[in-house]
Amino acid sequence: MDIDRFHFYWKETQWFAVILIFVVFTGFFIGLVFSNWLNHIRLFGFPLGLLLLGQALIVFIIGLMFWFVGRQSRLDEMHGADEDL
Amino acid sequence: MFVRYRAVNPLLGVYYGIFTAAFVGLGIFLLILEYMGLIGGHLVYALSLAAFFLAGSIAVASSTKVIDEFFLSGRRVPAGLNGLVIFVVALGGAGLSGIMGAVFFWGIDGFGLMLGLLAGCVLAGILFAAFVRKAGSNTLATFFAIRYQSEKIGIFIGFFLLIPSVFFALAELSILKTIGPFVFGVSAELCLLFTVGIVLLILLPGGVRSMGWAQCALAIVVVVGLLVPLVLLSLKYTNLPLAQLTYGSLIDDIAKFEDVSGKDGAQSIEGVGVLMGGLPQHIQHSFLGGLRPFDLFEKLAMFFLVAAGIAGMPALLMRGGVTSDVGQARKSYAWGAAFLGVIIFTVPAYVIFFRYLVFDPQVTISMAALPSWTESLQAMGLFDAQDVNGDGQMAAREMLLARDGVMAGLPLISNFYQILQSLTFAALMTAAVAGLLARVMVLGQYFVRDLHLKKGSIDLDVIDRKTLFWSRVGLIVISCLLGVVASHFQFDAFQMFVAGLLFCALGVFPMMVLSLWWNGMGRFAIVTCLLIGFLCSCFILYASDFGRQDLYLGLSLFEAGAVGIVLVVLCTLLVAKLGPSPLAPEIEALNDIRTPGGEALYDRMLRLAMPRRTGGQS
Repeated sequence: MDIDRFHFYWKETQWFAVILIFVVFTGFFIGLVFSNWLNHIRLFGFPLGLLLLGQALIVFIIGLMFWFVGRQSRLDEMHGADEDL
Repeated sequence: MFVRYRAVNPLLGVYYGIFTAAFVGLGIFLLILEYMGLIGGHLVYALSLAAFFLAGSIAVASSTKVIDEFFLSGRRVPAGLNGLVIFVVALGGAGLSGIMGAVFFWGIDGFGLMLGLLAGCVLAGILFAAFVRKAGSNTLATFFAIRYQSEKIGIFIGFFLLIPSVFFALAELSILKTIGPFVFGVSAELCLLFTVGIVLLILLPGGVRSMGWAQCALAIVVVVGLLVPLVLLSLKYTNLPLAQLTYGSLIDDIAKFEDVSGKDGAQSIEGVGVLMGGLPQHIQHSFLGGLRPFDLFEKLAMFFLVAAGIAGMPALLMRGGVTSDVGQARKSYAWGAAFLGVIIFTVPAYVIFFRYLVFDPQVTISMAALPSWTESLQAMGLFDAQDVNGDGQMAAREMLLARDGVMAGLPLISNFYQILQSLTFAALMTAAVAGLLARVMVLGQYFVRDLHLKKGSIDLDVIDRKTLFWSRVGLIVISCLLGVVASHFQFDAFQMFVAGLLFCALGVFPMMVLSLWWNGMGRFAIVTCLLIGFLCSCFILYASDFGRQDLYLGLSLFEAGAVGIVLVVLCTLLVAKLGPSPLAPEIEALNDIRTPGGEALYDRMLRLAMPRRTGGQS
């Protein structure tokens, strides 16, 4: 992999990781900060804060993680940085 | 050339299916025997023993004499099964009982601790997994040696990384020392001896390979042991088997029960101190946080510290090195997060059902004739009762429950068959043993592999009896030493677990992030980062008396730890700016590590140092 191509690849990888971590941590922070307040609202019998923090957020984060794996692999492939064994 | 990346055994899923079926089948068989009155006493706890026996059998069946397999599991562990190992190593027995306790005592405010585990796994997958796999190392010491092109740096850093692993190992041993004697009816010392025996039975035949396959089996026991009693309880109280989706219907009842039974409870330790020490405490906090809203900064700090600590856990990071490629390494952490998600889904349901049964005001308990579940918990030192108002009755406000009593308590209070109680105890103990295995291996690999196997002296694809012999001796010595220390001193599992997390969060996490994601991180800066992080951790632990009390300015251990991470990063950046720039080989190694394709750097290093096999050519 030549150096110019590598730098372009690395910049994209960095931005991707930063955005992803920002999304993940924003989700957790919103959940943790507002959970007590959201518990006054009920959805499907659950207090909303609990539903968000204990279930919806977890499913979202796990889904995001699997999406990251696929997206990053495509990024590696696109820039020719994928496995060459 | 080294022969790498052999095909994954397509029957692995079938093997673990057989294991699960055998374990569940044995449980049902013992249940029938107990129902018929043919077994009783400690014999019903044979299920816990069976879990260890089956995991030990898997380990013996995966014995190996090849160095590559012994240290790297042949680099062909599939992502799903590696995810199971990642999940059980991140959690461990101490983590499992800790998050149960946190959610029970703090209610929704304790979610910070639990979600921190998930966030840590996600961080490790995004920030580190691919690079650890590309470096090809199976210890962090080797990883830093490759990153900085210096074995001395690797050995120096590796030495400091032993500290968190020792804390984590002692945390797991402490769980086994508390629960084991009750389950097996033997002394704590004998229980520790048995634990050391199990650890050696699993580690000695095949090193990382036998450990990994056995940990998969132990992880399955953890999941089954948590879910089965909960499904039965859910059926009993909500007529639906999915406790994770039905516990919402009990929350209103619990809030009413707490109003009647919980609010005027005797005063006890508040804040994080309630989880430290492991002594029984009054239940003060209502589940939805209405009684004493937890400090917001404390909640966020706890989440951040646990996330950074899990992401920097050496035993967890090294699982990235055993996969067939970089993509599989990333996917392993995604699977790890998914399995952790199952537990995080389950813990609130578990706690809600326990609170529902503990707080039920319709159940009156006479102090003169306490029920058997309280006696069982008392026998483990996890429960106490004080008749505060002198009415001869025990209300929820008069109960004192220990953190570790939450997980052990639900099957006991539910009056399940003893086999089902045994299943939950098996889950807790197998989680502890799985965590312990990973820590013993990290310690053993440092003393045997990192210190003695320099490049040019190791060949991966051969049977090297001398290296394997000394590796096994190292594992025996470390296991025995840990067992002796655990038997002579009293440790609190959660305090040890948090201490380990603190060292990982302040010491390892900033080092990993800065050395991989920032170009200006030279040797001088990385060593400074390590020293500042470990000194900060020691100071916080000393000043807070291992979390029992607040530090200066009213900061708790978690708050001080979160502030400490920021300080360590800022100090390191300053030192890196003012200190010497990174050398050219270090930059080159960094760029190599960042490129996912191509040969693992560790393999290349060994190949080039072995002219007798390859003629020194790449």
